[in-house]
Amino acid sequence: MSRRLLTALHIISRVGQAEGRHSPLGGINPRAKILVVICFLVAMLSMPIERLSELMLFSIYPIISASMGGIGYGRVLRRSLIVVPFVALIALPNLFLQREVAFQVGGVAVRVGLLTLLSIVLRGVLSLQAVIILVATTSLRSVCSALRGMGVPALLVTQIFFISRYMGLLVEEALAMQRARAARGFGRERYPLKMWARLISQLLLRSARRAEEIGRAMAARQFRGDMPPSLHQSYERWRGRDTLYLVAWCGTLLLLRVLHFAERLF
Amino acid sequence: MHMSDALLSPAVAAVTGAMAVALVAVAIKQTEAESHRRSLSRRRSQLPLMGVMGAFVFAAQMINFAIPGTGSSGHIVGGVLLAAILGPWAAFLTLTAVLIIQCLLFADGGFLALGCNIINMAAMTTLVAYPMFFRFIMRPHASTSRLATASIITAIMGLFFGAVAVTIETSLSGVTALPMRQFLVYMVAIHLAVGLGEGIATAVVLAVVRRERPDMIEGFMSPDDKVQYHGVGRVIAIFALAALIVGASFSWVASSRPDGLEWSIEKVSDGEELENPDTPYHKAAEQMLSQTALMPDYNTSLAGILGSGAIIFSVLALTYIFRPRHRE
Repeated sequence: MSRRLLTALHIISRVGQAEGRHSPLGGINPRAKILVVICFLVAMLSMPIERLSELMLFSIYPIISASMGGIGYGRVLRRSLIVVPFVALIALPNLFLQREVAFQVGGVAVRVGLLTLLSIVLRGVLSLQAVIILVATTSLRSVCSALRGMGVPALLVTQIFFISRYMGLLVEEALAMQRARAARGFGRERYPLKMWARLISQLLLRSARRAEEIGRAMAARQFRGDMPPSLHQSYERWRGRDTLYLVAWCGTLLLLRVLHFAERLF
Repeated sequence: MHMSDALLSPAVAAVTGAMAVALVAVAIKQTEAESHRRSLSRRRSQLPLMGVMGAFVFAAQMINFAIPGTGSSGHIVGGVLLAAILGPWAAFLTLTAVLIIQCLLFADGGFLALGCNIINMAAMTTLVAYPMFFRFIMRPHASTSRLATASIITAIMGLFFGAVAVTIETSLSGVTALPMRQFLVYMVAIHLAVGLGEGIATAVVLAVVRRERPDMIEGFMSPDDKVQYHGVGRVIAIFALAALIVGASFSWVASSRPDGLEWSIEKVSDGEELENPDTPYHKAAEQMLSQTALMPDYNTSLAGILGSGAIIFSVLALTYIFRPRHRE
């Protein structure tokens, strides 16, 4: 359990400093990156699921983006595999329900159900990879400022800011409570419900007290419900290369979707 | 219950996304209007309270409790708890922000599926189940057992509505071949159990909050004009309503064709026949294809898969050769 808390803390601490932010992809305006990810997801997910080979071609987007972002594709692939069990569980019945034979390999019949199962898993893995790369090359702060620039209301963006700021703090607090309990717990791993309730309630009450203090401190500093505009303006500039990035990727993805390359070429 | 992009079609994602955007817009209006009705000190701390509570849900989700007798453990999801402390609209906004962060930071739930996840997890609990059940049972200075009843029923119903929504969205997307009714049984059964756990966990936490900071629970201290209060009779009525909704949906499922599996196979094979009409033209084309192509063709051929694999491999090799070097 404390391992989960530590992992979360590790991820949270890395958020401020997206590792790929100095790479070629990190320099692209976050708005362009978000639009390309949406375009990728729509193009890929609208592909009929029987067309496994066409779907496979869509993996060139995460491969090239990972390289542009200076992150090894192997790591992106490994992280994206966590989605496989969840998706495969729901896609598994396809294996038994779709029994027609698609083709034969050396006398072994490959059923349509297997192909659709594989392509559902592929859809899950690829869509996760796109988001992983987006996050690894863009700090949450610039995602927030991009959202604000795209017209998302201040209240919601401020919430995302607040939560991401205080998440680390509260996870640290939870970790401290967990350590204190482990030191007195005689090696018991899990909490019975009653003790858990006391622990969580303490965390809740402490959080509420903290929120009141923050509220007073912010009111004293003239907080009126929105972050200062200086916070987003530095990210706002849209350059020529952002347009180029957007047009090139959207065009490529559209062509991949419309022209069925794999089945035409081979 | 986080939905992945893999199980969604873009059309369903677009519709649920638009619904989620509309709900967020209404929630922002409502939260602002509600905060004007509050005292100055509460109004001042409302925004940070929402933020810190969101962060709390995050931290709390990582601490598990043991489920007696099963050897497994569970954690709180937090929808009912947030709604009881912040009010439904503010809780909805906070949960939405939590879902966005989970998607962007922890890659939990898909990017296009965000709209679905906001509706299934945030809206169903805070905007549907909470006003329907929690507020109905709650009354000023409610006893611990009344608070517990309210939390448990609300949590179960919130997850039940969420599970039904997941089933509908997945079926409309048409990605999995699993028939909707079987999927529904499977989803609802799991989430009723999860809801019971969530409800009990919420109840024990709210019991401590009731003892230590009763002013934090919505509708506990003073009779608020928005909250309706009812006696024990209404609690029983609510129980009956909840049981009726769950029971009716189960009996609808149970009374459906017992051979759902075969029925769906029939449907799948029917669909295939429709795709290949039996005209001489089609037959000739088919014959030509089977002679020229290496392997008999479906929508996906082995050659296509091998070809795509070769392309992916060469792109991988190229990106490795031309990878950007780190400038020190």
